[in-house]
Amino acid sequence: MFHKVLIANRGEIALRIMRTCSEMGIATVAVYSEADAEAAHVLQADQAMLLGPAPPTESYLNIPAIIAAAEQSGAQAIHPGYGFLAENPALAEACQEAGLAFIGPQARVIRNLGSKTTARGIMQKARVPLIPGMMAPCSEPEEMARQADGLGYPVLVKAVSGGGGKGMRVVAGPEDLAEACELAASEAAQAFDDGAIYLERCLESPRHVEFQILADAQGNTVHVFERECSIQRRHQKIIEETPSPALTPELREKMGQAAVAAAKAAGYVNAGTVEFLLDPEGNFYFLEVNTRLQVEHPITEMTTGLDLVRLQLMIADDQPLPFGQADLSQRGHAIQCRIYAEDPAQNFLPSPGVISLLAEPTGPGVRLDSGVYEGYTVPLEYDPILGKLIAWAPDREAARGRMLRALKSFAVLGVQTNIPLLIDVLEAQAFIDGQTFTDFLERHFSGWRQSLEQADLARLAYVLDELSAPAGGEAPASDTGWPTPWQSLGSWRV
Amino acid sequence: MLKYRLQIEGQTAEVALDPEQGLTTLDGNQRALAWRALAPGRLLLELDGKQVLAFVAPAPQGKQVFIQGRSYLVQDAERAPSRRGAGGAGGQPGQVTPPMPAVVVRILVEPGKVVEPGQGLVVVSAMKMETTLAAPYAGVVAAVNTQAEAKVMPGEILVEITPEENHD
Repeated sequence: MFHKVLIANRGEIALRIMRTCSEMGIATVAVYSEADAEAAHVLQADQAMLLGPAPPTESYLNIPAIIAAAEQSGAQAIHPGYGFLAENPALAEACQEAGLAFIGPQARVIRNLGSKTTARGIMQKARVPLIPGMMAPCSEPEEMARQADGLGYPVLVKAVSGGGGKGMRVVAGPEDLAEACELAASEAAQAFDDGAIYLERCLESPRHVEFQILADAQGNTVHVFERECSIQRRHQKIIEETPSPALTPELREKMGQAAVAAAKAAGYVNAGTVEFLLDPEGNFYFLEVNTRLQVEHPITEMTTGLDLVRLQLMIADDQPLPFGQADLSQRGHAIQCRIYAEDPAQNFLPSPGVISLLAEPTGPGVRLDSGVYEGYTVPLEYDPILGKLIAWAPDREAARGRMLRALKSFAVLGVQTNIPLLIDVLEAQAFIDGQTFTDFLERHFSGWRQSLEQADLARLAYVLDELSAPAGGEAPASDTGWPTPWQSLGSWRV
Repeated sequence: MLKYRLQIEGQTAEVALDPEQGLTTLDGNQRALAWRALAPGRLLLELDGKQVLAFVAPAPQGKQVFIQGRSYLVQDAERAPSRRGAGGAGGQPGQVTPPMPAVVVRILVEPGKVVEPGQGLVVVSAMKMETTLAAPYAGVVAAVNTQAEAKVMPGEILVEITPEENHD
């Protein structure tokens, strides 16, 4: 097993990977940008290497700097986390050239699956059901129009190298197609350096269900059940759960087998995720493969008892999987909420700043993968995720109740968070009923405003806080906690 | 009897406190109150015998209060500046300020330029999101107080606009 691993990432995922490394006796090397000198992952690691200035291209996306940091620190392997370079074949290749192990699949596999059309081709050969659509990109308006007519409107324009909803457009009718293609192509060229686009049929109200897969270098491939990720904003998932309320045991079996077939067809090694769209009739279609550990992996861990990062390291170390498909089972229900520093009442405007107070939830079945600490300044240069809160319980209703209890005791002050919105989503009847389609937030929560149910108590707390910190700086010592009037300050009237 | 008028999300309400009697009046109702400061910013309230934990931290224009999953900016109505974006009592007309700490990406105007309401003045960026700050009304740009790549905070006036004269 490796003695030292460099984690090419930041925030909560870097911390989470480091925890498993520490448990396995592996020394950890953190990398950071100038904006992250006091980030939690830097403070936690055994060693920290500065990559460069704040912009990601000069730091977390800077392959030469990361390889140099690995060589200088004596790391033997690099774990890419998620985002940043995790699905960039160039990092996997650079590791190979430098004689470093890359904790993930081979560069060739990352490259193939990173192209949506190439991936579709691989899956088609493996007889994995596909979303009806084109198998190759096209830039000819007439050909596109012909293809769209064949698929039937509404049709979806997608970027071949895309992700995160960029370069994607829903087209309602033939008159909108040409412009949508142009816009999608230019957005894709800007975001992914590749303006190639293709068309898929647009499914109505799909559920987004993905399967975790694990494959060792000896050819054993298993699935570790599904995750339902249907509550999204701006194409980013905010609430995920497992098991999916929409899956019967039969459907789970079929989709699981399709996920394994997909992984095998791609020659996949290490951990990955096969994403499907599920229509209301119970038909599922391959969407894409994510060639990395995903943000929502903790819910799989909570229901199966597995440590996916540990398994990733073992696979990268050429060890065989210590179990077969028949050994795996799920117990209970897990929900994950992503905690973002943003204001959901202001169109999710990011909210960087100093975390002046942090009171984290705890208790049985509550897991918090946090990337911050009290007093930390959330930088404005990166994704505003503060951490992930996961609740596990024997069934969905109990997990929902546990998550609510945890959210209501999760105090974050100094920045705005989406915690109040998450509470409202989990209390919504549509969520209780498991009606979690990808348009959930638009359907039920557009124009959301925070409930003022605690406003009066908040006013009272304001006053009491004023009274408890008089100009002298010390809280009053009286038994009842009441200050004498000449100790109080603030604008009060008698 | 101590009285405060406090504003949350544009709604002002009065809170009255009688420390001697252990009473408070909230929303017109008198309730029994006891409380303890457990640590700076951490308060235990007991209202009509029921305990509630509240967390309070200073915020640029008041205090941020967290209770049971709800987080509010609470401002003293006696001294609160106007809500961001709107003119009115306490707010200076013509203030163009970022809604969050950000970096200036592009400046779209220069002093002397005539602007319409809603016209873009400055583009700022934070956490990969770009926002355009617009002119709140018609007028002439009096001053540009920032430059590209500057880090700016809410409250900083980036562009000053002299409102155009009203023609009746």
